[in-house]
Amino acid sequence: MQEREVVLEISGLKTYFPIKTGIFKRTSGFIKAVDGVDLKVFKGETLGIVGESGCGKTTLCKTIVMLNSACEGKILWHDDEFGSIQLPTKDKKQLKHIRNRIQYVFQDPQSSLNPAFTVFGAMDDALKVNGVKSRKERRQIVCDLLRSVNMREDALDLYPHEFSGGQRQRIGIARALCVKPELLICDEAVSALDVSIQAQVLHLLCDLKNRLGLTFLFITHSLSVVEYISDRIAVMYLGRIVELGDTDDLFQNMFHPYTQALRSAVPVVDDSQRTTRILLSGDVPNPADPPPGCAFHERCWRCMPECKVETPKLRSYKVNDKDYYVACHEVHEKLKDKENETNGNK
Amino acid sequence: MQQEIVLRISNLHTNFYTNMRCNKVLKGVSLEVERGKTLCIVGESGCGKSVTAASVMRLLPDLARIESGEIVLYDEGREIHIEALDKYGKSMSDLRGSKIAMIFQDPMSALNPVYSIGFQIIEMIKRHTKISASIAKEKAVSLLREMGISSPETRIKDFPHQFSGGMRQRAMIAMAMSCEPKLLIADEPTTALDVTVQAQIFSLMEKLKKEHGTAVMMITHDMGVVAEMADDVVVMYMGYIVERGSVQQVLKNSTHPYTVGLMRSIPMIGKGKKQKLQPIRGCTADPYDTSPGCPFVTRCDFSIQLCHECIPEESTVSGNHKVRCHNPIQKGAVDART
Repeated sequence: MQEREVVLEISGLKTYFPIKTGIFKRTSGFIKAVDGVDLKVFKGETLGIVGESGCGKTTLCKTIVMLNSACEGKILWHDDEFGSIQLPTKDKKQLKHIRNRIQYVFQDPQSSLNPAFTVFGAMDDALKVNGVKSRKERRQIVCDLLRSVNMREDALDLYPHEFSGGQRQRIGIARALCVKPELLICDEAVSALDVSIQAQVLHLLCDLKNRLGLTFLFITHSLSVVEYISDRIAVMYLGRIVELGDTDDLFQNMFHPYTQALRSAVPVVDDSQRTTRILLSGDVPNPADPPPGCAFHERCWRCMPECKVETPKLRSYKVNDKDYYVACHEVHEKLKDKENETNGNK
Repeated sequence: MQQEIVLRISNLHTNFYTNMRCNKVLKGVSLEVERGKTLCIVGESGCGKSVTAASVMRLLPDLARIESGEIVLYDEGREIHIEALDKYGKSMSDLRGSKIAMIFQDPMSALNPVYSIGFQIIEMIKRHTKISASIAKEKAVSLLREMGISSPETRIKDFPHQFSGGMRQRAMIAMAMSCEPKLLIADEPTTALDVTVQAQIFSLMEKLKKEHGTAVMMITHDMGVVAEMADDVVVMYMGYIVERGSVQQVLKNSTHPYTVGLMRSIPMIGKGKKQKLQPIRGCTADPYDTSPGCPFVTRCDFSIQLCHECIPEESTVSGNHKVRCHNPIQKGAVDART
């Protein structure tokens, strides 16, 4: 198999938020939002991250764009110009470079666009900083961007409140594109939209990916959306990745019990796609006080004695000649012989 | 066997009066909910599905008015005309909670944060029945247990913020079911919840429906939810019911271009990248638009000249399957998405 170019490499990433109690704001514990994530993002792929609320998918991405700071672990950005940059960086030059390479599209376009700025105003500064001197040129660039997200050019001087939700989300995407990024992180970019509009935005994202060769990190809680848009899918549970693989392989196999439960809980229109529903009892455990061993064992119906003691590692297996990662003791028993030799240096 | 109808809405018009303008939100909604069945109302935001529910509960804001039409609740042989009741009156508040109960989208804002869960359930039971406080408390505990909340004796003293999202929604359902209502209105009950929790809530609602024979009117925008939960479906667009019928009829043999468009624009699980999404072009029309034609005409691929001229009347496709379209899509004319 041809080695694919890695653009982003995350290893052992941990992001904890302190819990402060009492009048002296003493730190009494940590919310382990991201608790040891290893991930590689290849150039030109769409990596979908799925999971329930509170599983740390947003925190992971915010850590990548330095909106949260990590406590442990490494984030490496590979690039022709600088070689590799370790994030977060303090170097001004690198910082500027990285911010142009990684862009973020937020969930709620209503609150992520400044109501006091016109569409042009929202992107003007970013272009100025990047050395586009003449105003005419800048307007032309924004015009082209708007056209590329299927919006009319006269939207240039309108304010966010004059648009509908779907249009606002497109402006959000156009704004992210104005610095010509390589990696676009879409944090629930279509969740707040109506289904008919959602399809329009999904179309647009697929189109942009093909046209501009973008790499996407696509966060969502909807399995059907992630199946439609991603090349690879990572399933997260309580700050860890529990299963990671090619979209087709993942949907065919679904080794991890949590993925199975998640899949079976999705309401489907087509009867042929309906699976026996696995009802999980209880809720996601408190991330400040996760259960010992596998975080999922309290809700798991295939729980083995060792699950209660030892946290399963994310092991790599060969499925259909492709790398496939699962973190589960029970699955490991089954797939032992398929385990990758090169385990450990994912 | 003749099905027992619990609620009948006929030709309901609800207007909102804002900024010196009149926004006609419901333009003639007619539907029936049967005992022990689930009616799902589907549509995009702003199509009037929540206003329909609020009209039934008479929880509309002051600037809204039910203009014409009938909302009739059938209760043990009696016909109660909800639209004629005083919305602040005693007879309406007797109905609310005891005969018709509602579950809201966001349980955190629907529950009062300064009272315990138990207090809020007991208050509801005491308001509608003449039982003593201690029996009411026992009933609240048993309700919470029925909803699958562990150790309800202690949890009953907890406040809403101590519950998780799914548990709050269960508490809401417990409260709604406390007086065994005839009709349960669920306004996007699981939109704010995760799919695994959503599955828990649905299995619970299914159980309650079977055990108590409650009629459920569920508002949703998720076609998957409709396919799993509903017996009958009503598709709304811009204040009109554009298509209605049983789940089979509406989802499998959709005839209205809007329903077909909706079905095609959702990614379906298990089909991966092979499926082709066909979004509905454009966006929902301005509600103040007063052009005479069909409200969907600007986004419709099947429009004919007549569509621009007048609003179509409801016509029958087969049996209970009705559609409001001049040029409905014939069965088989458009291939289902492969």
